[in-house]
Amino acid sequence: MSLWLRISAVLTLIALALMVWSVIVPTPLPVMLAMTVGQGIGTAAFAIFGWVVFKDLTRKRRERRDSLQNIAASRDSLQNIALTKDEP
Amino acid sequence: MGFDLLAAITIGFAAISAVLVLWYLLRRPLLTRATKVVLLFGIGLLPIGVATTGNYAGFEATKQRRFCGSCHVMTPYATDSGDPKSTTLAARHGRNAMFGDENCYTCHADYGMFGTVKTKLGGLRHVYHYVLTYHDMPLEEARKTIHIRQPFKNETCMHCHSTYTPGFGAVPDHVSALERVRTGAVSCASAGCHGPAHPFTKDLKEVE
Repeated sequence: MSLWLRISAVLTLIALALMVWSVIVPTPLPVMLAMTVGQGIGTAAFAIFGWVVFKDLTRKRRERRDSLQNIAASRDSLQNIALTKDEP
Repeated sequence: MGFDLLAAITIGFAAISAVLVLWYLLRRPLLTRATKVVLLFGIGLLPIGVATTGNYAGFEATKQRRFCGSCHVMTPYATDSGDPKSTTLAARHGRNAMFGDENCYTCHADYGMFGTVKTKLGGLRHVYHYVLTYHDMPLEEARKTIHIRQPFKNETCMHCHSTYTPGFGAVPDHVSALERVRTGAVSCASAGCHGPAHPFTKDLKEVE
């Protein structure tokens, strides 16, 4: 996950460089590159970031759910043990 | 380069974004909620701001005469129309404050609802032709080869010169050709009228 996030960060820096270049040197090549490649790379970087965050959130939610299920299961088993001991 | 506010905002957003992203790359913090928020700004919101202001600045830059003249084949056109001593139609319009540094765009842009879009698409066609045909062509050869794609529309002239003002009607030639001018049957830039805006690109016979 962190590798993808680093890729996303590097892509962002490339996109920013292209877009700033077009502002500093407003000639056809930089302007066209910024509006096509620059924005494409920037969009890809943001999409990767969104995907990483989504995966991280779903992983954490799954872990929390699993943990709650484990707690419930251990509580049930403890109750069963208690009931068994109470039996004559 | 004319350093305007929009360019400054674009560069400012980009600088902040770069700092946030570099902080992540160098420090490599855990992906906590705080890190996500920082990266949301660094990778998402600020670059979107850079793209928005940068696009606008880019579109404005494409209207500048300097931009049009940055392809070598357009240099004589841009130089002449910005020359304060030139007497060509293009230069006389360029000296008008309403045209100024955007005189190429003001005259060659399409008007109407989709005028800007059509003009930008036309600009892409220019780039296509330049890259494939004119990039390595000597200026003297290009001067003879390059021509306007469609006849210059009178509508463009009439955007400012409405043909309804008393001053326009005071010119006898305008009165005699009025309907033909309005319908486009006679071009304002024809040899018998005001002549081509860039006469140095025409053969003498054509101008006469």
